Amino acid sequence: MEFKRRRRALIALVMVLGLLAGACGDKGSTSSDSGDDDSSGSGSGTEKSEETIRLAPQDFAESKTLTEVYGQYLKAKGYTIEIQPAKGFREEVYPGLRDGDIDMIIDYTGSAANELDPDGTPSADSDETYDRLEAALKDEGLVAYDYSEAEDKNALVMLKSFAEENDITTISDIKPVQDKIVLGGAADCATRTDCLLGYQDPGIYGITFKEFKALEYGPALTAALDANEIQAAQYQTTAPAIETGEFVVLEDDKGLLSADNIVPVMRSEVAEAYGDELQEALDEVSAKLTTEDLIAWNVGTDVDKEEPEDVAEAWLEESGLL
Amino acid sequence: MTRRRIVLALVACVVGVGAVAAWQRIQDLSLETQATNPIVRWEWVFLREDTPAELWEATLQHLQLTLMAVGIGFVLASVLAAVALRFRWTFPPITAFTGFLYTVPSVALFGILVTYYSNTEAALIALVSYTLLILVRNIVAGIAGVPRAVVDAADGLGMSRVRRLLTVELPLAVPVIVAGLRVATVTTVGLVGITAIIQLGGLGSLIFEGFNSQYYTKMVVGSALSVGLAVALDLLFSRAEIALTPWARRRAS
Amino acid sequence: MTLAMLLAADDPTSLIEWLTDSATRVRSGSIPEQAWTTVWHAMAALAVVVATMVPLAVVLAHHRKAELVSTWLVNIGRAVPTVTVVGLLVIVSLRNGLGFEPWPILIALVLLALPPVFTNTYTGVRGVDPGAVDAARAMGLSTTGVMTRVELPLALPLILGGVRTAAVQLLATEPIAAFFGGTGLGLYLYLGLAEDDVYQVQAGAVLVCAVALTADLLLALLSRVLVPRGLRIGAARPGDASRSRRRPDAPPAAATAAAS
Repeated sequence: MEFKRRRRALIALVMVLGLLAGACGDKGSTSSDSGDDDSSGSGSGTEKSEETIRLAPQDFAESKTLTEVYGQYLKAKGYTIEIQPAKGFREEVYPGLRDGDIDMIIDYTGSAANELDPDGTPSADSDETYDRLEAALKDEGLVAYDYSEAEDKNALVMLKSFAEENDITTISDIKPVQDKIVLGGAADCATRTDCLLGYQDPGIYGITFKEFKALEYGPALTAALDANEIQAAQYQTTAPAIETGEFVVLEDDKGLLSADNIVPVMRSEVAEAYGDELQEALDEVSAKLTTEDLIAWNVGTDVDKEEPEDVAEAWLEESGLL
Repeated sequence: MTRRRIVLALVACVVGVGAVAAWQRIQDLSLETQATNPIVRWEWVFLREDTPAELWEATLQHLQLTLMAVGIGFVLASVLAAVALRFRWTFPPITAFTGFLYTVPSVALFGILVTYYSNTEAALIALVSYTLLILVRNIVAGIAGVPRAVVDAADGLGMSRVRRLLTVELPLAVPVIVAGLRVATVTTVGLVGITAIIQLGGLGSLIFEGFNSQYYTKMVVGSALSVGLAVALDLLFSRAEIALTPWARRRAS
Repeated sequence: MTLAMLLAADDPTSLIEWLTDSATRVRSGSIPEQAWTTVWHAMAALAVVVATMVPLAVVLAHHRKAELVSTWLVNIGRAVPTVTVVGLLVIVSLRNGLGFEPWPILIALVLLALPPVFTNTYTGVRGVDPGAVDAARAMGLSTTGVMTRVELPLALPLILGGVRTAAVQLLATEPIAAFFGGTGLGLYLYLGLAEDDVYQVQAGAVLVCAVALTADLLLALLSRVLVPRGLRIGAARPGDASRSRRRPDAPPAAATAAAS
């Protein structure tokens, strides 16, 4: 009698150990730590059509939705796609592109150009910015495809009520009241020339904010703005609250913020391996995308708390691409 | 006895009524009614197609990391315990060292390790070091706690040292060892939640994601699941403890 | 300062340099400032817990039936992960105009400190030699008098042990506030992880450990000073062999702090 019980207990323990062993075995295949191991055989530029194209979004909703949109469309076209979890912003994603850990990202022309070429001049013109980006990418072994007319520029936003109270319509208007203004933004804003560094630069705006608060880019940032924890936020022109009039975008009178059209960027080996077909597929999506779509997506993810994959799928179906 | 039964019955009734009410509410809802941000948005949990799979995956990730850490910790602790039992003078330094590891704040330890190792390696090293103190202590206490008389009896029967260890000392040490495993596992479940700050997923990332999108439901569900996981593992180990010591039960009854 | 200088200013080459060169902390605030934030959060929470739990535990220790309440109180602190408490409270706090701090982290830390302080006080008072209580009553002390002049002092080593455990736990967990919009030493960890700034992360980690260790040592010193030699845990007392003393384990639990 007692022997049977002992055996059952032993079996339970063995099962637990088995789960453990299974865990050890599975670890290599989960994509959550794919950033750690070196990509195996992807830099060889072979023409296997089963080879996976790895996309990585940046750590905010719009980037995730964009990546899902392009990724799901390519998947439907027959490519093997892997969409990795977001690990950070451009600073974390580009090294992955360069090292060959990821193959493609959906980026924004101006911000990418600023990241790769910090000394260059930002421009509000889409074509100029795209050329600047292409030139910068060439040295990195990366290539960009056609940019979309859909645009999401970085913008300094404020609560409409606060801006009206303090008579602020342009970014330069902040300077006289700079001691009252706490700037909020993603952590990477602090090291970007088109963000905090640009605002602080005496040659451009020369504003010394009361404080810079790093927050998660997204609803957390807007909630802080709503609660008046921060008075100005470096956010995006496609934010839902701008549409509803709750936030106002401050005019960039010194031309710091550049055009930011959606553009797929990928490693040149992958581009060569897949050729024109891939380009056509990507261009199809880019052509269909408009800025209103971006705003609608953000309403879905930020206000209605929907998942980026679902928003992406719904849009693809609505626009007839899926 | 009867008072307890009444209380249990009342609790069961409340839970039952609550469950029925919740189900009713879910039936009346659809994915379209998502304009508000209540504490728990049941539609997201039950009606959205992908959610159960995603929750399951997150739970599984969490469980895997926990079990791996406890498993490796157990192996290491056994080695350390064996050393401590064989060479008694090493016990205080070993305890001091593992105790020191336990004191290091977890967020800090993850932070520092991640600058030298990959995310998973860093997390495992940190998680394993937190389990060492309790496991070493319990393994040693378990085996050292076997009554001297029993050990002598085994020697008297002519058993070799190894045989004695495997057939007499270990079985008698099992309750204490399993108790240690239980505490270590539950502690680790909580700590794995923190590894979300180094992007290791699991249920902790649900909580952080929920915060970043200011979405109560994800946070509540994430923490409910991680508490649930801890409770489930706790129960599993307490059952195992009972099952592995049939002589204690017989003595009690 | 030109833009070039601003860009070049942040490239420390080692941990030591990060700690010593104040230009590296332009974005994340000065070390004393952040350290003080962390410390005062922990101290305030600890003060609240000690002020409420110690009297409560002393009173409850007298009632056998209070066993249930005690377990309930203890488990409240362990039940919900601190991370969730802080996150949810920050959302609520923002919506009600209370800002990112200090309320969310203070409440979370109070919940965290409940178990060690309460358990240790409870067990300490329970473990007081009944002979001493009888002698005190015989001398004419009222119940309150017995509590404050006999039980509390005799339970002091355990109470201080609980306070020490709690303090280290709190200091170890407070950094999590920075991941939810707060400040304090955790800000270095948060910003460092977000910006991939290795030295900032290391600096944050080293500072948190240093603060926790200092608190542990200071409280150990305090214990040594306040507790008479005869009462120290481990001291041999007459009647030890005949009396079973339950001594709860109170190891430094900095890890479980962040866990639960």
